Amino acid sequence: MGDISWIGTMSLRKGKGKGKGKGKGFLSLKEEEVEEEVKEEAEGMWAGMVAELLGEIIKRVERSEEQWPNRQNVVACGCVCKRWREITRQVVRSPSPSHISAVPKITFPSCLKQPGPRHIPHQCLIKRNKKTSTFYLYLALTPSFTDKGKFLLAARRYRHGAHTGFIVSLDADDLSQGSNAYVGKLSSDFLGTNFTIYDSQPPHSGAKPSSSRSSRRFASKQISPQVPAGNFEVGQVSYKFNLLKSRGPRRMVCLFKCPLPGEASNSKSLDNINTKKPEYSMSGYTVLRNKAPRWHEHLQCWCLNFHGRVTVASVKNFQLVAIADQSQPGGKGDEETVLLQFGKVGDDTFTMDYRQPLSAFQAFAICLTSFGTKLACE
Amino acid sequence: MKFCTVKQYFDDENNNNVTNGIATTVIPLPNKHLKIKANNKEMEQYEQELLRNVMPQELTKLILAANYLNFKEALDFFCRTVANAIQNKSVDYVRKFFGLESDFEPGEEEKLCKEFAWSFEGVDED
Repeated sequence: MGDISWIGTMSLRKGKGKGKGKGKGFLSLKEEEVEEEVKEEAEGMWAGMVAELLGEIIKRVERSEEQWPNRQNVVACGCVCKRWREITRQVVRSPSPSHISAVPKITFPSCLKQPGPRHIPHQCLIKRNKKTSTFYLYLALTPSFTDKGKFLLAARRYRHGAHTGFIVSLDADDLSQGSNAYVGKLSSDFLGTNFTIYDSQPPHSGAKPSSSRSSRRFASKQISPQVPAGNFEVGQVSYKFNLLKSRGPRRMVCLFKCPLPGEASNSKSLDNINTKKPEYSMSGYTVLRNKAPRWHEHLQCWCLNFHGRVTVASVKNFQLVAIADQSQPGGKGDEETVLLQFGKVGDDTFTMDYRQPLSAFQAFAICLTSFGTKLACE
Repeated sequence: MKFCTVKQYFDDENNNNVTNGIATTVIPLPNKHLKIKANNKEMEQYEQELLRNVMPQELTKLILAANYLNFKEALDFFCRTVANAIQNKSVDYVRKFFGLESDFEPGEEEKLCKEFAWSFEGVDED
């Protein structure tokens, strides 16, 4: 940037037209002094001004590339340099105000741990590979159940003695805990009726990793020292079986620590909250249970209305509603709105529709437990 | 309102040199806008003509000029044009376009590569 007269124009802009006198002052300085002063002033203003204008450019990229695969272009903007990354993240976090109900779009992998949309759920597909015990989550791009869509997460089921677990990863080909792509895991109790969900990243500032053997081993492979390594417990899923009718619907209860929209990545906001309140009430718990199906006397089966998104009867199919929901005023769930729906549409194909306060990762984790309970009969 | 910044611009004495080229591109825009106000398509064609001869790197200068002159329509148009120019291009291309260098640490860079690879993974081709 050796173009001094161009930089000169920039510094005059500072006065916004009132720079008349300032302009004259410039002329009286020596050429070298002008060059230095102008350069310093311009660099400061250049940085500030360009951030705003860069934001305008990136906003236009984001708005025109709403769907995958074109959304890759927004990810590309976030990979140019640090300033671009920061601006792109801001643009993605705050969608255009002209949207009536701004729908958070999945752009970066970090969006997978952000709450889903408030009203219309994100529609996803889960593909199962029985031979390798792997499961793949996709964001549906068309209404068809045969088109996969945008790959989001992969999971591999493992059995450790009597315990069942899942490793969740961003990389479909690398499903190990030590990988860069490791996102979280699930592990079950002995009976396979209670699952604990772990996140590879702290859900909020000050969160402590769980002290298990695997997390200590993991700590030696951490990439960025700023982020504590390990596994952080973020939720639980419990199954209770209907003892009276062995083929009856099972009951599910899910407990989650849900960050409120916008809170998760900004740990600073937690510091501003009234420090008299105990820490656990700042990020509240969300409690979900499955909607009870109704017995259809004529068809002699249990029925739930999946609105066409589930087409094969299976004991795995479920709909979750909230008893407690921290994203709602008063923290109360309405026990009616279906926040997560999961069900079979083909031999190895399942749909997963999720919405706020659940994130894609949490929704996927809950659905995976459906593949992990050994007492399920299908 | 569009013209008060322009007036100041001409009043300031040492703006002549390089920005002349920018000025001749940007300043006629308000007049043209008023003339073709109702007809968007004609304005689009005029703008396409304008930019056909402008080097991509010049666009960033045009944006700054439009911003300086407080000319919102031109700013929107130039920003959209840059957005179109850098879409569907590699990260390296975008860096060269703006004359930027990556300032990520090696560890971060590796993580970003993975992130970028994820964005290409498993999307159905038509």
